[in-house]
Amino acid sequence: MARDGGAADARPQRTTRTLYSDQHLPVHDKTVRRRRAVLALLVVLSLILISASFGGSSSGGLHTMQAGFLDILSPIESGANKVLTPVHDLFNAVSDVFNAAGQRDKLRKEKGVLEQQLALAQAKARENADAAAILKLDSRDNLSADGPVTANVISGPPQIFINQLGIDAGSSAGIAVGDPAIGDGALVGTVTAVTADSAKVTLIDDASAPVAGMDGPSGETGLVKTDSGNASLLTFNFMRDATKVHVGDQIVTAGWQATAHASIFPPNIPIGTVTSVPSVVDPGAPITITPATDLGAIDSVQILTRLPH
Amino acid sequence: MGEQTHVGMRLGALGFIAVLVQVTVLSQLRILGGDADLSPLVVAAAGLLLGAVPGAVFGFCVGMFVDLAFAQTLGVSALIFCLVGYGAGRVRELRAPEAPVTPLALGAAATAIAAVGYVILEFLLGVEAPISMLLVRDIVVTVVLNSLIAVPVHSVVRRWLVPALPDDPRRRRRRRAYTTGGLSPLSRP
Repeated sequence: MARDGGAADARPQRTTRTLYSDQHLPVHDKTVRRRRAVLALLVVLSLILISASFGGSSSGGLHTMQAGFLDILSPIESGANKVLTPVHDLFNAVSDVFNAAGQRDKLRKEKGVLEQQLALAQAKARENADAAAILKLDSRDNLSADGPVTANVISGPPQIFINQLGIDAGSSAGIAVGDPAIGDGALVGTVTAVTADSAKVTLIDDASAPVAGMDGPSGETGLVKTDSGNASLLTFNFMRDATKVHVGDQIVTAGWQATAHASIFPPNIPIGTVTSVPSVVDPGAPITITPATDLGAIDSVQILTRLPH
Repeated sequence: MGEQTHVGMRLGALGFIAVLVQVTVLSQLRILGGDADLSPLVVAAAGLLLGAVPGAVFGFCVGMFVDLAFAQTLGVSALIFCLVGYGAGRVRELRAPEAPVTPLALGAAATAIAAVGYVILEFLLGVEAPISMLLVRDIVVTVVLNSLIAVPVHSVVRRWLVPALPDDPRRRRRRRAYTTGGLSPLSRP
């Protein structure tokens, strides 16, 4: 045992050589201890401050000190703020330039979405107005007895001289050729072709569809036809006494068949307003009528299905 | 006036101006949704130039000043900046602080440690702020912005502090010239 111990003592000890392992400098140890002690002191001080500040009441000493410090700092802060305002503004201006580009792109996208929504809302409003006009016409002229069928316009005039509209209701809804069509509170035209689920309405400004009309104030009757000189106007012809018709008079349906093939429209449906009459200067001029509804902007119509043909 | 007092006064002025600029200017400049934070950069630069103990003390003082100026829980920033200053000082003592990339890397690291440490401490103190991607984005933006200004800030702090340090080469040269009566004959053309 003693021999073993002696051999162990005789063997040279193997140590790892590091910078300080073989020479312990007391100054270095002191520096390390001091450094660690300072760090520990500061950390402990911070933790004490956190505990005191976090758990303390708002009227405590630390909060009072903080408030006092802010009172002292705020004038300095205010002064520095004023002095540094140009710098602040410069940075903000640069920042605004970058932000403005991003905002512009964002607003452009929003504008596109809003435009789509506006178009949709306008279309809905137009549909509502049409429906309201049809309802008003129904109640005014008591059209409910005539079997009105409401249909949406699905196609416009295919060519410039063919004034027809396509609608999304047909014979399955009771619509037949010759049925009158009204829309937007006024006379629109006549059904001229029918399939099971669609139909064609020839408008009143088509040359092939004269309408028996009546001057509202005087009761003079005549034929309403398209104006050969202006496709957007109608003319009022074949009256007994044309002098009774005046500018501004409302022309309505007369309620009788104009030709052998024309529809029988219910009476008193507005057709249009007289805009010109023959004068002394031009006694041969026609009586022109502006249609009561814009025939190019109709979204829905009502077909009267129970009238005798 | 002793050299330590001189350094202390310069450090005090540096901390005061840095926090004042932070309060009045930088905290109001939002860039890419975040803002630059001068305090960790100044503390890291001071620690890198002065060592661990002065860095820790300076960090503690700057942190206290920040807590007071922003009316925060006292001690939170002091604790974080104290550790940042100490860490920067240890980098000076253990690594090669003269490498050109050191201020940049140290500034980014100091900012990240300060920001994350602040979030963790506030979270531990029970501040009910949601940990969201917005917070992560703010931290990343602040680290990036601070990285961009880390080198100029370090340069300014160095210019401000080095003349007061005892091992300033310029001062050493001045002293030698004063004691020897002029420059070394070897340096003459």
